[in-house]
Order: sequence, then C-alpha cells, then structure tokens
Amino acid sequence: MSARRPGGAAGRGSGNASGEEAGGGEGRARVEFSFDGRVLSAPPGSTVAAALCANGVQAWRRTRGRGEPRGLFCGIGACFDCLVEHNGRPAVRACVTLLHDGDRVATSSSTGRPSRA
Amino acid sequence: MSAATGPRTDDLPASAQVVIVGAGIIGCFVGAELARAGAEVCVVDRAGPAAGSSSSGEGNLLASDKLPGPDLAFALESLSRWRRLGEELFARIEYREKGGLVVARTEQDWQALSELAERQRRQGLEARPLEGEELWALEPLLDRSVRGAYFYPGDAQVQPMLAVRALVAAIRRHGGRVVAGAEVRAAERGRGGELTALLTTRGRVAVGTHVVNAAGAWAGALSGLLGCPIPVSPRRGHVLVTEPVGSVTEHKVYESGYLGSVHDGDGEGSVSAVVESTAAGTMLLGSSREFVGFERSPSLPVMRAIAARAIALFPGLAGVRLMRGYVGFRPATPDRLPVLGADERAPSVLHATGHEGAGVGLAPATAAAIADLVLGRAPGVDVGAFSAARFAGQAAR
Amino acid sequence: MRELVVVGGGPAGMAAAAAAARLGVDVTIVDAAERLGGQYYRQPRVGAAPGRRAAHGLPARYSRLEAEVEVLAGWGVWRAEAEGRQVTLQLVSQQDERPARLSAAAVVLAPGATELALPFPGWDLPGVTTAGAAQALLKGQGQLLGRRVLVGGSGPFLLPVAAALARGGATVVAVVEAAPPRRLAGVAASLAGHPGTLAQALGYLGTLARRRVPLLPGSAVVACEGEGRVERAVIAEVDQGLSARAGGRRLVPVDAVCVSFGFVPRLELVRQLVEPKGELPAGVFLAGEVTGVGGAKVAEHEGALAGAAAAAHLGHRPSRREERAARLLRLRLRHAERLAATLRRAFAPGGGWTGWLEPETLVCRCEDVPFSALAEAVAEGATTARAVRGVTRCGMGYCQGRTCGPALQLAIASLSGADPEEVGDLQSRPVALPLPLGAVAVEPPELAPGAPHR
Repeated sequence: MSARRPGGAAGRGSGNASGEEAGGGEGRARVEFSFDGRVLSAPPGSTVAAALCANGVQAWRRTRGRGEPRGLFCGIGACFDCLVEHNGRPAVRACVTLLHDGDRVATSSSTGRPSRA
Repeated sequence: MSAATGPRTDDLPASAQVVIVGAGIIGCFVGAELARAGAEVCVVDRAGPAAGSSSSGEGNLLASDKLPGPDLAFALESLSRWRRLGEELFARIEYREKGGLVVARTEQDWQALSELAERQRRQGLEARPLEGEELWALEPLLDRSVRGAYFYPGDAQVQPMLAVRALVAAIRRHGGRVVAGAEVRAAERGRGGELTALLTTRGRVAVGTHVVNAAGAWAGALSGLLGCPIPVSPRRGHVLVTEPVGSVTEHKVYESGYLGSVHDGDGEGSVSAVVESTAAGTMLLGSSREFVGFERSPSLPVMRAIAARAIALFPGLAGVRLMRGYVGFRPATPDRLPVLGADERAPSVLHATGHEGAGVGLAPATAAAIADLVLGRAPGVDVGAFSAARFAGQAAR
Repeated sequence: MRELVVVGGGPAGMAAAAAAARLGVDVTIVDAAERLGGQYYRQPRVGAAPGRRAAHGLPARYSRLEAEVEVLAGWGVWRAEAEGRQVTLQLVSQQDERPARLSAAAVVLAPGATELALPFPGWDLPGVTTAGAAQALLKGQGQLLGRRVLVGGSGPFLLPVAAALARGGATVVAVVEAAPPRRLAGVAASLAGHPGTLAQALGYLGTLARRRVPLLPGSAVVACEGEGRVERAVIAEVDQGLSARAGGRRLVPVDAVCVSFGFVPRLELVRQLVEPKGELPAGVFLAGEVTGVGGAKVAEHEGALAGAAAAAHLGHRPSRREERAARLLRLRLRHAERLAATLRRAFAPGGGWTGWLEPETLVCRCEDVPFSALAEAVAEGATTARAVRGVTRCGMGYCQGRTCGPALQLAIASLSGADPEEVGDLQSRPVALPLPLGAVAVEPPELAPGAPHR
C-alpha cells in the first residue's frame, strides 16, 4: 500500500520542541500505534493529534463535501476539525483523545457510524 | 468580496389588498399563490421568514399519518400539489420523495396498523405491507423484533427554511412584500365593525379585502385581536439532530404509536419514535407532544425518551452522537385538524392555521383554498370540514 | 450531592475552588482536560519527562489544590439544569464517551473562552491553526506545528505564543499584528499602571528581539496557499477597519500559520441555565472569560470572588480578615478590568476582513459553506445569525458554530450594517457537547465521591 500521507506533509513542517522550556517525554519508552496501516510511534501521554504531528502528519480527515484534507485547528477540543477514527470509533477529536500503545488510528471521513447491535 | 447592496428589507406599505399575518410556510405559500395570481400581497411577521415553527420541524410531507376522511383527502391533495412544483425548485429546497415506513412493534399494533392502512388505501393512498425478509431488505438496521410495517412511497420531505426562502423570493418577484419585525398589536375597525387596518410595531397597514391569519402556534392570540377567537394552542415538540452519519435509513421511519399521539388529544407528554435522514447527512429524531405553553428550554427527560425510543427502533443508533436539539411549537386545535377559511364573526378574516405538525405538507392545498376564497374563484379544494365554526364557544388551552 | 462544583479548571475555576475550599466548602472541579490548568496554565502531558517545565505550568499557589479539592478530569459537561436548590450537570467522559451525572448545591461556571478565528482564503489548509492550538501543542505535548511559523491576527495573545514557539525551537517568520502602530503605542502607555503585565510583555518582546523576529503592525495574513497543506502566506497592510490596502503584498514561505483575533466566551452552559427563567438561578455563579474576556489575571480575581460568593451562599461565613481580603480583591479586579477593557477596545477587529475573502472561501469549516452563500442570504434579507444558518447550514456541523459562529455574526453585521448584538450568536445550544445517543438514552448514575473516576 501507498505510504503517502493525506496532507503530503512527509517529514516537513513539524518536530519536537527543542527549546529550554518545552515539556517533553524524549528518551522514555515510546508507544506504538498505526495510522492508516502504517506503524508509527510517539511519546507516552500524547494526544492522537500530537502523535500524528510528531510523525509529520498534518492532515488526518477528509471533508464530507469536497474531500479536502484537514488536521489540527483549534487544538482545544472546540472546533471538531481534527476528527479522526480511533480504535474503530469514528469522528473523535484527535486533539483531546489520548493515545495508547497499540492504538489503531485512521483518516476520518467526517461522519459517525451506527454501532453494531 | 462584499454584498453589492445591503440586505433586502421591505417597508410596511400604507395599504395592501391582502395582509397575511405570519411569514412561515403557510403565510408564505398563501402569499406566493396570491401574488402569482396578481393580488396585492403584504406578509407581515413579528420576526422574519420561517422564524417560528417552520424552522423547528423536519419538513415532513406526510399522508401516512392522516386518518381516512377529510384529513387524508386534504393531505393527498396537498402532496400532489407539492409534487407538481417541479424539479428546478426541488433541488433548491431539498425535496425528497423518500417514502415513509410505519412500524408496528406488537401483534396488536400490527392489527391496528393493517386495518388503518387498508382504509387509507381505499381512499387512494399507496401503502404496502412488509414483513420479515422483505422488511429487513428495505431497512437492514431495523430492530428485528418488530412485527411488521407499512411502506408509504408518497411520503416526502423538504427543508422548510429553504422552501420559505424560495416562496419569499416568489412573493417579491410578483410585487408582493414580506415585512419583518412587524408584530400585529391591534386591529382597527370601521363604523360597521368591519376590519379596516392592522396596527403593527412597524406602523399601520390598511386592509383592502382580506386579512389571512397564518400566525401558526400564535394564531390563537391573533384571532382574538381580529375579533374571531379560535382555539389554537402551542403543542411543543422536540427534535434531536445527530452527527452526520452513513446510511441508517433512507426513509422516514416511525412507530405506529406515533399515530396515536398525533390524533389523541390526551396524548400529553407522549413520545413516540420518528427516525429519518436528511439531505445534509444528519438524522432527525422525534417526536414528543406536550402542552407547556411557549417553554423554549428543552426537557432532558423528553430528550432521553426520544433517544431511547429511536434506539429501540434502530439499535445501531446507540453509537451515533447527538449533536443538537431544539424545540418547536405546533399550532394545535382540540380535534387535531386545521382551521381554514372564512369566519362569520369577522368577514374579512380568513384562517389558515391549526395544522399542528403537518403545516409544511398541507401548505400548498391550504394556499390554494385561501387563494380561491380571496379571489372569488370556484373552490378547487374542499375545506368545509375545517371551518372555524366547529369550535363555537371553545377557547384555546 | 456535592456542595460546590466548579466547571472549568483554568485560572478562574482554580481560583474559585481554592477560595471556596479555604472557607470550608467541599469543592469538586470538573474539566474536560486531563489535567488542571486550563489553557493559560496548561500542564505538560501526563507521562512527560519530569524536570522540564513548560512555559507556564501550574503556579505554586495551586500546587496543593488537587489534594484539597476533588478533581474530575476528563469529563465534559453537556447539559446543566437547575431545579429548586440543586444544579444538575450531565457529564460525558472525553476518552470513552460514558455518561455520568453530578449534582451540587452550588455551581461556579468558569468554562473559559474559545479563540476568535476570522476566515481568509486558505485558512482551511492543514498547517493553519489558531494561535491557541500551537500554544497547547507546545505546552501540553512539547510539540511544534512546524519549523517556519507565522503568527498573525490581533491582540496581546500573539506575543506569548510567538515567544514560546521561538523558545521551543521554531523559526518565527514574523508576528503580524493588525492593530496600527499608533494604537499599539496607546496600549503600551496604558501598561504603565500595570507593572506585572508590562514586565511580561517586555519579556516576550525581548525573546522575539533576540531571535530577530520581525513585528509587523498594521498588517494581516490575508491568504494562505499550498498543495494539501500551507506552504505560503500572503501578508498585506491593513487599515484600522482591517481592510487590506492596495499593493504592498508579501508572499512568505511557511510550514505553519497560527492566527488569533482574540477570544469569545463559551456561553452554552450559561444559556442553558438562564433560558428557562430568563435569569441565572440562585446558587449559580460565573467567573472568568464567560463574564467578558479579560485574561488570566481578571479571571483569577473573579474566580476568587465567585468562590467566596458561592461559599457565602452555602452558609460559610467569611472571617473579618477574609472580608478585608475580598475588598482588596475587588479593588484589584477593578484595576485589572480597566486594562482588559483598554485591550478589548484596542484589538477589537473591524469588519474589513470580509474584503479578504473570495466568494468560494469557506466560512463554515464543518459544512463547507462559502462566503458567497452568506452574502446571498444577507442580500435577500436574512439578518440574524440564526436565519442565515437556517438557509446556508453555516454553523450546523460538528462544531455547531463554535468556530464560524462569531465570524458569521461579524460578517452579517459587516454586510448588513447591523449591530452584532442584533445579529445574535449561535451559542444557544441545548447540547453543549456531542455524545452518543446511547449515553443520552439512560439516566446515568451520580459520580460517587471519592471513587476513582477514570
């Protein structure tokens, strides 16, 4: 399968903060997760959005109408722009959802889904 | 980019041949029908177009929920008029002939529904019984414990705010006016007691030949001001809106208990499941019926009951998120039928109200009937059963 | 039933909780975030390496708060109702969408604010975020949005964000502030009586100056471009009313653009409580941005006063000393509020930004509603936010107008010449957070005090 990222943001435009005052979890055990089938890793305690940003992914949703790429916008759970599919749950906010080891993350189609009865 | 001109706002004219009070779906449909026929029309509204109940319903065009007799005949007439409006308009107002599915949960409900559907069919309404595999094929996510259902292919839906918007444009195109922010405060009368003008919060408008009471849930109070009180009271309903969701159902699906709550005057506080998708991808869930005045704050117990009933019908909805909720006020009469036409207590007044939850569906036939009366045409629609005279002596609750 | 529940664990909420707890009240803080602090005092993520402190973190005065009060972290409030002498909050867990209930004899609402984002062509490209998003990602997650970051918009919030990003290792391309130099000079003069704030501002400016970050007053990011993500930003000079001046446009390469035009109070829970009777029920107190945007200092003063008022309502009488402290606090609040009012006036956006938009520029990011649709609806006579929403779907998507609502309100006002107050907002939301219907359908249990909640 293709390893292209939805936003085409491969490797650019992000990174861990390196400055004197940024909090970070560098050097500790990282959690592994998958994004659209690719295996990635992130510091423990990351939100899904931060984990994706840390891997250079800037977009993880396609809009319902025009299929345009979207990612983080308000960063505090208010705008619902950063919706992502998380462990099979559709349309959760990546910026407030915590990542755990083994999580499955996938590009969101911007809709919910009926649960299986 | 910026708008070349400011917003289009109509001033109150000094006079109009027909003054229509209420710029909801009914008032605007009546206005458009009359303006197209060449009448001088002025629609006044205390807020603006579709500011009341027209913006708080689902936009249903239903015959399936009508009882055999004048109620169903009027609905069939109105739905055929909606259908004739044409493809060009349909796209703009999200008209969808998606069909209604009435679901019976128990054997007893099934017997009652079958009996009703047979009577409806004898009056010309298309309805098809569905059981077992046939039903699951149409509604794969429907709860498997339901007894059976009737499919009504003629049931349809529009987005009522878009419909009102198109009607307002039509009124203006034909020289009529739609005046926002004009609340009727009093009626002026001539020496013979005849109604001569309406005094509104935006000034006075002299009435040429007719005043149309299309004030919806507020029509009871207005009819008092006009000297011909009719018992119309607000019957509150809740609508829950879900997140956009992949297909759960393509139809309007409701449990047969809904019929009881529509037609039963004592069905206070009753909740029955209504589940449907919209063109925008969200789902609308209803329904509740309560007499609580114009209380705008939704009731959590009612919201819970609607969610629970909807899940009982479609178990998969448990995982679909509620995104929004609102209430609206249906214009209800004691016998659940509309009030249409002349009122002998006030000869220039024509009532066009009391449609309860069916105003959007019944708007075209209502408009045709009112226009016939205003223009002195031979009546094309029989509204004899809906005369205000049937309520002689009854007050609004 | 709890004695006092404080909704919101930011500066106002923490101050309210601390003040009430000091007066002997049993306090519970409920917040959607995982840790106390809100946006201003956002703490690093759980599990971050110890010993490395984020720009703010929790001030020492709140270091014992978690031991003194009950903290329900990770719970959002989707509905608030008052009946008799009890306020009931309906909660939804932010991680697994479980419902729960919390009832209290008194409530302090301190839900804070969201950012005001004004649309421009390309604002929907990945890599364009609010300034607060960049701040939260850095403070909470130690993560940068991009290497070359442009910070734009208007207001005092741009400086701390730009300074933090620069310290965190980003190349801040510029800070683009819409207010003209003359107005900024006025703001600087008004800081004279507020040495703490002045020192803070000078600190940020020093950080930016040391890294040679240009400050561009009287300018705005009027467009962003790129294929699938932001790659370039267009900076234009703007007049006082935010209209772009002809010519003088600059195209700068960027990885990320962070914009902010100030803050909008989160009013949905307040409205839910006020709407039934037309007034705030007894036992409900407000603090922080929800009473008018004033920043962290104003919020903390208000929070402390609201906490004390709630305590009094609950029958905890303050001592003489505490009464004196409250009087002093009121004076401090008035002083801080004067500066906040000056800042609100100085950085209030004009309506000229609608001129930046192309007809197809999206205003509603959830439902793909372009500016042309709004302009058309307004031209036809729809002049309230609700009316325009009804015919365009602007504000009807997942965010329910949290992002586009304020922009819609300002755009209608700008297009129609009406007052924003008359246009109205979209903050009347009977459902303050989405939650599964399965969670709505049941009457959930009251969260047991002292039990583990996560």
